[in-house]
Amino acid sequence: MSAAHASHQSSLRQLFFAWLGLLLLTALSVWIGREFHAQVGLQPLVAAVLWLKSWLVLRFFLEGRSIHIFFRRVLHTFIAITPICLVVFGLWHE
Amino acid sequence: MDKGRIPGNKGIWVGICCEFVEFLLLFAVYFVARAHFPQEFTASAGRLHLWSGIWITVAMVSSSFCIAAAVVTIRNSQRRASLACLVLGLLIALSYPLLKWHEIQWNLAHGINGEAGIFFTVYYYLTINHMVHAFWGILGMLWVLTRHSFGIYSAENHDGLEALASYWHATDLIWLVIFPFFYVLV
Repeated sequence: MSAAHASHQSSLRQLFFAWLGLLLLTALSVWIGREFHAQVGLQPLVAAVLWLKSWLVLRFFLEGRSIHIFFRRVLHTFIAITPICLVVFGLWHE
Repeated sequence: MDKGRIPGNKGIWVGICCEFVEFLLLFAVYFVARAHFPQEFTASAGRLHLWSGIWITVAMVSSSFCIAAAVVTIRNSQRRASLACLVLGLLIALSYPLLKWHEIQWNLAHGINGEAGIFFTVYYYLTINHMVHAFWGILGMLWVLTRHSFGIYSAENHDGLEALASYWHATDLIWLVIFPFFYVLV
């Protein structure tokens, strides 16, 4: 493994904070769901939280910065598609 | 330009790409159904057991954290710590089918079955499909745990553990999308 790849590896401390962030964002998304029920801003807010949670998993758990560029692009595309769809859906239907 | 490395092996990443394609199709089904039956989605959402969804999310991200910690510790030659993280990750992952079983029992007791409406059909289709994929991950954990306990993995060679971790994190990513679909956007 090259030094460049090694520098992109997560530490236990980073993993812990990513996990904590995921739990807090889950709580935040439930709160948003309740507070913005049936309101115009619900879809983009949920989409933003969803993307952020997915990014945390990709960046720290999957160590996305060291993954082969093809699979890195696949992962970034995958985590972007649904939030984009939610925003577009919200604009279209609200 | 640094092209990066392939954690685990190429085979698992082909599988992960196939898994993503499969679930993107299922997500498309969700959006098409929601666009065509907005009233049903509005009326049905909120009838599900929210805490089941929350606890499954906690279980998925926590087991993902433990599996990632198992990889980090084996890299540091902390074999016992890595094994402990893997066992903890497996135990937490096993709570997922239990939580899902409890949720389905609760649903059935409240008249929510696969024929209760389009919202619930899509919900069962997506969540049960995800649980099947999680089940493969749990089997993978048992296999990797067996190999790990025999001392097969080391700081220099732990491709099998990385392959499992990559699959489990990908399955976690998919659940993170499913959760707001049915439990948050209500």
